[in-house]
Amino acid sequence: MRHLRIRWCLAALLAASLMLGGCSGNVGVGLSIGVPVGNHGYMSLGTSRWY
Amino acid sequence: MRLRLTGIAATAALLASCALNAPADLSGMSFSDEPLVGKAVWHDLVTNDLDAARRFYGGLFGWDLETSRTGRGQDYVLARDGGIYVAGLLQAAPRDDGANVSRWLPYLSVGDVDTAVQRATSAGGDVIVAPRNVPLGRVAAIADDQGAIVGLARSNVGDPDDATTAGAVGRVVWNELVAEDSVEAARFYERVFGYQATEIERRGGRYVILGAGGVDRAGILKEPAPEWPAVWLTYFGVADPVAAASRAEQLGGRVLLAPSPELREGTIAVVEDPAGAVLVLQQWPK
Repeated sequence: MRHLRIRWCLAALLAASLMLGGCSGNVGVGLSIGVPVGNHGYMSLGTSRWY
Repeated sequence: MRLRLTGIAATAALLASCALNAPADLSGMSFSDEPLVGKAVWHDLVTNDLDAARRFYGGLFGWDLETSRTGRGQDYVLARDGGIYVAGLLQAAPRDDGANVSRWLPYLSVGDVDTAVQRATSAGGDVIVAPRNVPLGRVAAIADDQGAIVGLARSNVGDPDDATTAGAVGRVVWNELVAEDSVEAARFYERVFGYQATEIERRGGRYVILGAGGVDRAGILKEPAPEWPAVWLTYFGVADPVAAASRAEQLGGRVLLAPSPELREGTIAVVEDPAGAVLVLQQWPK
């Protein structure tokens, strides 16, 4: 009986965690992109060529 | 028995971590039935300093910030403007070389992420993050054939429709690729995302509009100077670019290009946030 209760608890917790899934519902992505960006200092160049 | 108790404890810990996240309230947003292919449907800030990003963007745009978690257990901050979720902010994994990876990353809607990634590699692009499932749906990130990084997404719940994402102060109002060769870049994006690219003349130069389904979705600007990196720029609406640039500086950012008559008639400012991610402040309405 005790074993059954534990199994039931485990199943319920697992189901709940699966329902919560990624935690933030259907909003957001959250990929960590570890690629360095270039030198933004250069963006001060070419002001007149922002067509 | 110990194993079972460990299992219960681990699951409870997972639930506890998720319990930090109130379910996202999507009642202020409406979604398309089918993917709006080519539309930038989400924007993430990947940052080297999440705390500074909270202060900067909260102060600059007045966003409500809700702490959530990614599927991998990282802090993930959802930014909301009124009833609309605008963006996500997340801490980048540190690199051994200390290089800055802070960037805004748009996610472009595609019908099938895996197929689009295959098209991208066939067209000369590289896979940065292979297709994977996240709460939103299925996503990936690629570098285009000139090195600019962009995300791809197929949402589980449809894409936020154009009424939901209409331009406004504090929201994304445009996405723009800066490319060494704008014509070649247009070919790449036509092939991978199915855009119709149209080259137009304005301000004495040429600019490419990427359209899909009769809607202008993004632009391509030929790099204004040869030293520029290939990059996707995210434009945010502000009431007054001069005041917004000044506020950005007060909040720890840096003005790269201040509004001036030569720079799109004073309607934009280009700034870095405290961690070095670039964003464009666009006067709105235009």
